[in-house]
Amino acid sequence: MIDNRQNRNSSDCGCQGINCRGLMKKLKVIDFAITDTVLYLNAYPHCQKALEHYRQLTAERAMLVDAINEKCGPMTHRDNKSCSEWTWTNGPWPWELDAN
Amino acid sequence: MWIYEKKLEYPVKIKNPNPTLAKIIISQLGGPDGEIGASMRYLHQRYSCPYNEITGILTDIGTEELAHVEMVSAILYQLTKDLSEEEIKKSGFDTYFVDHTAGIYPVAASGVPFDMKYIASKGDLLTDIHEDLAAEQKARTTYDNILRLCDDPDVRDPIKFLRQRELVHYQRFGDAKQSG
Repeated sequence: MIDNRQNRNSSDCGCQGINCRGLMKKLKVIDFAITDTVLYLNAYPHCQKALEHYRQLTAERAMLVDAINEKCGPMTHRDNKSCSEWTWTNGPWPWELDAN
Repeated sequence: MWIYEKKLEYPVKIKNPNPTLAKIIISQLGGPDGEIGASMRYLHQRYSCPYNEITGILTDIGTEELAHVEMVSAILYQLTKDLSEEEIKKSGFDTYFVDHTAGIYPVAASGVPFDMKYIASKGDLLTDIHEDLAAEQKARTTYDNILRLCDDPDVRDPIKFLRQRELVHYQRFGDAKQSG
């Protein structure tokens, strides 16, 4: 089996100073905060505080995920940015030790 | 529809394989109160739901439960990596191994495969919400039991996260019951 490892989880400042492991960790934290806020807003759709929290989180997320898709590898199969190769199926997959 | 995002909701990083623990934790995958049941329950109940906000709650919690299916599977995958024959026999994991090797197959700790009979989708909002409140508590109790049987901090960490989510889901279904 060919094992194409993305640099998604490299800790060194390779690839133009991007720390992929650090960025992925940040994304997991923000996405979880978004998930929790969404569940709350579904029950309380007029809560202004929650709406503002959601707005801030999603704005921060947008920038973070652009950097990740560009430098570390696609988060979804709609995000493959490489023109020269299809990287979506590159390892590691999320359940592997390397990805955590 | 669903799009897959290539990351776990919460990290799983288990240094020490432990097939004995895997035999127990697998109940949160294929057992009566596990995550597959939870996701199927909420995702199916949402079609007959007459209120948009509650349909949203069922959709989003159901989707999060799919992420939990993945997390439990990741825990099981890491707990059963690179096992020796000796470890497989000593732990009693051999009875699962013979049919599935180190593959992930949804069964309960008892060996009974997942059954859709564990869930209800009654097409009545009040009934379904009560089912959901009970389901979250049953899942929480199952996680409590896993924590009673597990010492490894690498395993306890994602399990505690998953347990905490059951409590939050319970709150959200409580909100739904009030509003509906």
